[in-house]
Amino acid sequence: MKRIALALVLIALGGGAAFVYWSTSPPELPPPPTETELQALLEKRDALQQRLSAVVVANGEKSLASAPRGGVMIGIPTSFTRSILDQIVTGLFNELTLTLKNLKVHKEGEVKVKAVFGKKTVGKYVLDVQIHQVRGLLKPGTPDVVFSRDRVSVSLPVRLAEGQGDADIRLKWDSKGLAANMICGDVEVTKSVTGGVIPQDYRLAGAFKISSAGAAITLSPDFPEELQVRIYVDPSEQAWAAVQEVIKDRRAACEATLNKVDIKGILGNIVDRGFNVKIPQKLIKPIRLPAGIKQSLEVQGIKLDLQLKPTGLLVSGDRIWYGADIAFGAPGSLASPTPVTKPAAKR
Amino acid sequence: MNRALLAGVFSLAFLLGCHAREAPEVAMARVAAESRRTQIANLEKLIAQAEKGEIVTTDQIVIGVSEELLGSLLRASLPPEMVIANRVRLRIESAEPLFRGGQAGLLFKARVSSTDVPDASATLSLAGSLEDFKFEGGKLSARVKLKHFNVLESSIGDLAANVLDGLVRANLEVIQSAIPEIEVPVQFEQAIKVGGLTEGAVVAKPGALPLAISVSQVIPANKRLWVLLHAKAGPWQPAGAENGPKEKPAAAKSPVAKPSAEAAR
Repeated sequence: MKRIALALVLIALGGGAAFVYWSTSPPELPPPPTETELQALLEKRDALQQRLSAVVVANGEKSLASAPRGGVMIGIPTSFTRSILDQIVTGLFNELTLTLKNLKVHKEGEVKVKAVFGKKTVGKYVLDVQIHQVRGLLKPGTPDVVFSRDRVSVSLPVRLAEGQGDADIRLKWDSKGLAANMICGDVEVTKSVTGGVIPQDYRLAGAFKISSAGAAITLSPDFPEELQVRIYVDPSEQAWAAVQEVIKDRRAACEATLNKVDIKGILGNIVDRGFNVKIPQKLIKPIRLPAGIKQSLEVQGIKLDLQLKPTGLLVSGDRIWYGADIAFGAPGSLASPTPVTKPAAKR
Repeated sequence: MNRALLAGVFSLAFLLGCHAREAPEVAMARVAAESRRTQIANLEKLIAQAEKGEIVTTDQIVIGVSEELLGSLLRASLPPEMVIANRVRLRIESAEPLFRGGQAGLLFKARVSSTDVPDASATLSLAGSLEDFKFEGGKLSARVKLKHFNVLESSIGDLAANVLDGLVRANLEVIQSAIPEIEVPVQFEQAIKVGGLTEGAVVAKPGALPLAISVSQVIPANKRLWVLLHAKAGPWQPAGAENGPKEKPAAAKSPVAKPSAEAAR
């Protein structure tokens, strides 16, 4: 009886297990792919990859095929590089100020008049012009940026847009002889004058050499000539009026004598020559493009040095490409210095 | 009676857990075929998008990383060993990226052994992909997502292999999170700082050009991982200027090309 019961229990268990198995087992798999099917899929995939590359090139990635290969390839659009250059160069020149201080002009001489026996000195004058400050403000225009094989040339219009200055004009007149002393006496007068700056246009021309010093692409400035700006002061109406006052405040006979000093002419000469200011070449510094390759990585808390071996640099119309292979140094070891790479021919 | 009971229990165990396992090469062939079909579908979609002009790359920074380099980085980043559920030790012995057909696939081979019985071991293949590319703090990184695995060889028999199968399945996320983020060894500045100049009559203010860089698309193709980055420069900020709202690099987006797994050769 017991045996029969046990047999029944086993049969029931077996039946239950079979039910569970059939109800939970995954659906029957299709036959596995054959080698031929796998190869056909591979070929189709590779053909599509080629087609995708062709479409991407047709969509504007003209230099992709000639870009230097390497473990890492970096392609920076020339439009982005242009935007960086535009903004840095114009940013530096925007509101660049040229300030000249404490310029002194000294002029002295004698005034002679016709006398019965030749000419007679009636007085000596000393004219001192002290320019306390002349300040000019530069405003850049939109630069022309042109990429070529290994450089990018920049031509930046710069305008000396505005400015002002202030000065003191001091006239000292020392009459010589009794008559002159009676007419004019000694005069010493100082007048403060102001003026503006005559706007002028200039053009800064140069280039940036493109190179890669291992980790990143660097644009090194090559501006052979420093920009020379000449500041021409434009005396205000008040300035000319003040000059006139120096003389006009005298008696008529004295005015006629002092007019011979030609203060206006002397000042005009000073103003017409202008003041030369050189903008040092070092104002424009090397620019490192913002995408580069790391020279070390931290992996699981350990610094891993990366040894870079540049494979090439290509400057093309659409991108600046940089390629490098990377080898792993021993943790903490020094990476060997990486050579500078010059661009390949433009494609 | 005891014999009969034992026979019944074994029969039950066989029916419940020991259904026949496919040969590893057959399983791998299925995975390879499935992966290639997915790649073909990805590529057809990408080509259609590109032909419609929906994939614009020319104004974006391109980073191309080879499978070899990413493989080396991946292997350097892997933890030496991990213990799963206090029962098995898992050591990843090889890691191979496969960047084809729009898939950033990763294939790992791992050795698994019992913590109690060191002689009991098995070989696992794990497949996944690189995902969640992000650009943060000047770093470009991605995470490994595991999606499939397969017990290839085992010294422990089908029954134990099935138990291992279940254990790995239940702990796939644990294994995945033990693999650290993979950092692509490229660096991006978040601003270009330019010094000013005070010399003689000339005073030029220093300033900085802020840069906003974010991941736009990831296209794995032709054995290379192409990461496209949106990049915007400016506006120029002279030093000492009122600090307006500073532009920060935009938050990284998930890649458009969602790489998935597996053997693609």
